[in-house]
Amino acid sequence: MGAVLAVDPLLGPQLRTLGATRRQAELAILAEARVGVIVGLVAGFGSVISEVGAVMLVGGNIDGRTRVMTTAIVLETRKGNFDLALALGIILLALSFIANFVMALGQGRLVERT
Amino acid sequence: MSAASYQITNVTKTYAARTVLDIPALAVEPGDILAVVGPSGAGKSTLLRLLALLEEVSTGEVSFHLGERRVTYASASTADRRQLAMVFQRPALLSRSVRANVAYGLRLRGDRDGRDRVDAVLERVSLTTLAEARPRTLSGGELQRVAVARALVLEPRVLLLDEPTANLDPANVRLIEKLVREQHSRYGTTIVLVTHNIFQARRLATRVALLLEGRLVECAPTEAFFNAPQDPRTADFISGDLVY
Repeated sequence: MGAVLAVDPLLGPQLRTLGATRRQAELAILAEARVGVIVGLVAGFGSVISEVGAVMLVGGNIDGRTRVMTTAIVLETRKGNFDLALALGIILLALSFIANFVMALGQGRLVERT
Repeated sequence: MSAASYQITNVTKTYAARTVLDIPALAVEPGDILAVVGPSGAGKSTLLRLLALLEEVSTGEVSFHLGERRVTYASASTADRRQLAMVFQRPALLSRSVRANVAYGLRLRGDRDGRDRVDAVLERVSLTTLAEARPRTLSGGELQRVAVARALVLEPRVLLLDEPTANLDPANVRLIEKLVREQHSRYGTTIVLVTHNIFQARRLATRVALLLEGRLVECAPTEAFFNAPQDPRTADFISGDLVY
């Protein structure tokens, strides 16, 4: 949201007087803020996958259906299944690295275009 | 395409209990270049925003005439709104190329082969060599020329200009004034120009209106406004003696 607020507040009305509908002006403003919006989404994704406790409360850890990765790591470690816990940890790290790498690639391209 | 016009009737505009505009009657005739002059805070920009159908009046009516059609803020369709274009004092551009900024309004109108028109207008504003440049690399005068270009390329029936040359150097002022004059003689565009520069009003306008504290003091053909002002405050304003 901060990224959208950082766009020049004069832009909206100026686009409107060039014939943009309200919706078209909003889309253009969102496109202006795209770098910040994407960074925000990725940061959100990062905090979601690293969360341990809250996801269990919300219902992410249902017997026989879903497992939350972070929670699984904690539980497997406690049970003494260090191999499995370690493997899960590596997969989780890899996932977050991939997400950040993809963002960095995309961000470079986006920044270049602005 | 015939020129468009406005009729303002008993309009007031109030922001947070403060009345910034109170105009019983004012007409903008088809093909006019109406200059609205007055000190800052006189309600000039507010008037322009009402004409641009960006804001609704508090009371009264701003009626936008397109031939037989008469629309207001509430009843104007997107197609009606697309008959006008406005240039602001401080341009806000998209962070795309100059060319993409100028083409923006045409693209909204579904005009995909407006490339020739964009090229032609870039030439008129002397920005051909900067067509692929990003706005943040441009000077203030260049930015304002992009803003003028993106409005002119639409060939609007009404062109609204809010202090388009404030803070610009004389060369850019001359260029922009020339473009305004050209657009008027080429397309018969109805133009409303807000300026605090009475010399600019005198150079460009066919009629001049003086606003003071939200009220219309006088509106007259340019010649009469400057040579035979009817209101003593007009005389004071053009001689630079106005105390406010």
